[in-house]
Amino acid sequence: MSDPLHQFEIQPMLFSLDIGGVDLSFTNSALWMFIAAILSTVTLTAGMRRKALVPGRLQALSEMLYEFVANMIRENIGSKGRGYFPLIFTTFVIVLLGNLLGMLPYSFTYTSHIIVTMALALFIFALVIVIGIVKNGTKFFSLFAPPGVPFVLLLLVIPLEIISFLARPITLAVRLFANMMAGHLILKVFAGFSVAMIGIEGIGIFGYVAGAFPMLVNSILIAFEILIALLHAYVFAVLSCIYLKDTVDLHH
Amino acid sequence: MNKDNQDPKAPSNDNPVKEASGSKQPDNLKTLEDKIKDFQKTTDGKKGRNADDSESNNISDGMRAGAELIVPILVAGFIGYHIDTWLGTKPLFLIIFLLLGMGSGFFNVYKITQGIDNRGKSDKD
Repeated sequence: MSDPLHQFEIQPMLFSLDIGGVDLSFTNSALWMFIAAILSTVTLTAGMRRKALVPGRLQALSEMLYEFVANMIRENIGSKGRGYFPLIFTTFVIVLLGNLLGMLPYSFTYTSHIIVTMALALFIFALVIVIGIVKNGTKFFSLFAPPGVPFVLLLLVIPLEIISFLARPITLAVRLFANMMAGHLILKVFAGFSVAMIGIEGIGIFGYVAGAFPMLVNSILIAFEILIALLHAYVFAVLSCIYLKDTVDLHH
Repeated sequence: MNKDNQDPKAPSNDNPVKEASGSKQPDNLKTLEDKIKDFQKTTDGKKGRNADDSESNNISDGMRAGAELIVPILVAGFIGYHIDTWLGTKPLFLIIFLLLGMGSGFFNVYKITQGIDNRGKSDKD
């Protein structure tokens, strides 16, 4: 039975490059990020080239994607959040494609590595702090004191709010990474069950019959995995919106 | 509240005009006005989550809750442990921060269930 963790191994493609003790090889992770970037750019550019009144497939896809993200921003940040559209859209598309391209056989799921999701999450986190402080000054820190809370409770609520604020990038990163990694791990483990059952000696054709059951479970899991892939791209984008909302209007 | 006070006035002003002229235009204008008001409500984010709690929002909230509960505890424990090794007060700050982390985790989940996380904030204003 093959190692279920093998699929997460990062390997250099073609050649390995080492500059000043830093491994700068073009890895399989980088390759699939590259594919996602190219694919999204080409699809959206091609979709918007015609600008037909009655959209074709590609144009409809691009427009739906645009509207979906625009609505998400309007609902979660409000009309003042329009400036964040490019950022949220890019984040959403790159996470979505990372999750979905990972469902292809022989591909690599770059969102299953915490270093990738953590980089995205820390970028959003740093952005919230920087923009928040630039825009609101020290008033930004009133974020930790919700309005309408009695003074005695503030002593308790402020530490809680600070801890949950510090936990934000980690929740954001861990949620995406853990879900993608766990899902792919389960798929591989169930596929391994099938192979193991066929390999049992002395039961002949019965091994193939028994091996069909994990495969059946796996086909259901794949559908579930696609749902998870879509959902977590959405969750990531929505939470980015919610966090960025603190920069446009503090609660007072 | 101010908008609600203005609303009854607007139709009462429109109605005499409509009856006098008999044309359809004021009626259309009125519906247009309502549409604009509705649209402005959605664009201001005033509608919030209570108005259209779509299923995707519910699923995503459920997905959020697990991590929101666990991670603050880990983060707080990490902070407490490092303060302890720094100050040499071995279990004190670890315990304090773990309790704070649990409180924070439960508070987060409470906020999600009550819809008073940042998404619903503008409702309260």
